[in-house]
Amino acid sequence: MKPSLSLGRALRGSATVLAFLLILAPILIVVVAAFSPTDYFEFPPPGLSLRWFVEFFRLDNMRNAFVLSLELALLSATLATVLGTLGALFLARRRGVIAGLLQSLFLAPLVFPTIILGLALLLLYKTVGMPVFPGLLLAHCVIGMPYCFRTVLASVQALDPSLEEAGQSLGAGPISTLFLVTLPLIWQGVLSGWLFAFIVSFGELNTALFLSGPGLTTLPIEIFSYLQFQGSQLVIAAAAILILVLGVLPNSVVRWTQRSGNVVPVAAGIATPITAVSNP
Amino acid sequence: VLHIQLAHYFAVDTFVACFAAAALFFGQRAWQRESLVDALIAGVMAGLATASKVSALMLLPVLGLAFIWPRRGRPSMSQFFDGMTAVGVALVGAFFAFRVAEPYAFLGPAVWSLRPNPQWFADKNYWTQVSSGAIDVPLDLLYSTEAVVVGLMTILLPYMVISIANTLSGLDPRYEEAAQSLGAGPIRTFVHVTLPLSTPGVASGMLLVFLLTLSAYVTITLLGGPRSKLLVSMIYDNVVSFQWPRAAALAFILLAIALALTGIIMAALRPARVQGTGR
Repeated sequence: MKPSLSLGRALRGSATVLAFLLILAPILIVVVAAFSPTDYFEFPPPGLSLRWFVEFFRLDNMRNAFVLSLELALLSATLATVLGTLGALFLARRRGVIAGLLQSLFLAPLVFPTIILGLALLLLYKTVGMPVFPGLLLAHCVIGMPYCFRTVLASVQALDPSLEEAGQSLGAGPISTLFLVTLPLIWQGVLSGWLFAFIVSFGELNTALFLSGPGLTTLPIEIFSYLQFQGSQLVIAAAAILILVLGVLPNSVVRWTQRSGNVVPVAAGIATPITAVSNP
Repeated sequence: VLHIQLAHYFAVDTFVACFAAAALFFGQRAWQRESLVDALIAGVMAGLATASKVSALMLLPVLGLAFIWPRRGRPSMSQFFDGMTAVGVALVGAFFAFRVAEPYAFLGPAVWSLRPNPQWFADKNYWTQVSSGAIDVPLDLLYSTEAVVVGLMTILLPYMVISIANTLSGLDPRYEEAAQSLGAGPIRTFVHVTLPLSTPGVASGMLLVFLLTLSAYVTITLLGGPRSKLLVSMIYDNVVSFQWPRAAALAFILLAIALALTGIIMAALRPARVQGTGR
């Protein structure tokens, strides 16, 4: 290998730094500014205080939105994981036109512009007369399911089929094979799928914009409407909480999963949108 | 404040530098050739520079001093008067250029009206304080198409990176090694081997970013402000004002655009055929 040119190396290094700055600087600014004690946005902050976090949890609408988002994310991620896992188990070892079609169908919500999905669901719910919370839950579930589907699919495909066959030849029925053999082997895929669904649901805005009703607003919607009408420090604290929930918590769980096993499911989850696009 | 200074740098200093350089160039020519036309142009340039940035005002005394500076031989009275004429011409040119470029600085509709506008000085003072960091203002970068583009780029960059990285990690390193062993430098290897092979990743990344941009309502609304209306914001506005059939029609148009462009990108880049596999 030739040693690379120093100019090229310098260019590459500066491009990398620039890209990282572009991605990380906004997040850093939000997280740092959230600890500012001042009334209005000031960067760098003159001091550190938890004032706005206290304010965040004292305000009813913010706290309710946070709790609703959390509930919604937990429930919809669980629902999406169950559905996505079942779909992935069914499709993992099947080939053919119908299987390909079904796979595209499972991944379709990623390619479909979410704002159109929100509008479509809104029109549907109005005709059916759906109450707000189940409607939101369904929408979040639809958006999160492709992630679960992909991660579980990747781990099932990495699984040796002879293990399941061994379980069945030893007398286990399909259900006990699933619970005793398959699920213990693919739990990392299931868990990371759940995490991705959780992240997506917690940060989901485009569909919730149409579907959230009076008194039932998710945290991103609450932040968004605050930002549109008044941009106070409170919003920054709320955004920081969102970032903390979205970034730190799942990240640490992913780390823990990776340490105890393979990285296939996590990589599959991250690459889910890309695979959805590249094999439609 | 740094952003303001940067924006200021890009928006203002380029013009100031251009005009100031032109002014100095023509000033120097006027000094050499003793030509009043050049003096006039130099004055106009200096006036434009001052209109771009007030601190360019100090160009005028420099030019004036240059004009009356003795050219060759002993300084004489006639040379001094010639220089003074040049200075006068330059000043008149500078004044009219400034008057045309910054009409707000003067009161009255007439071009020759000399009464200065006090509000203009107040504004200048305010912006000076802003750019020095004494006062903080909302960023001017906000509420523009550029802001939307930069914001979306920041948000969507990871998707593109992951997409390309996905393809590159599946790339057989022997291709690159073969190219290098055949004598290609790093740049040639990249252009002729790595880049064509990474087309599938670039294509799917482009498609993904494109689709995500189409439905990026929030970023557009927050960064673009109320003035930039895109298809998604129109859909949302129609939904909020209960014109649902219209919103549905707009959504259908958006979907049609998305599908059509997806088809075009897929057909144009043919990600599945480049490497022979669909991955």
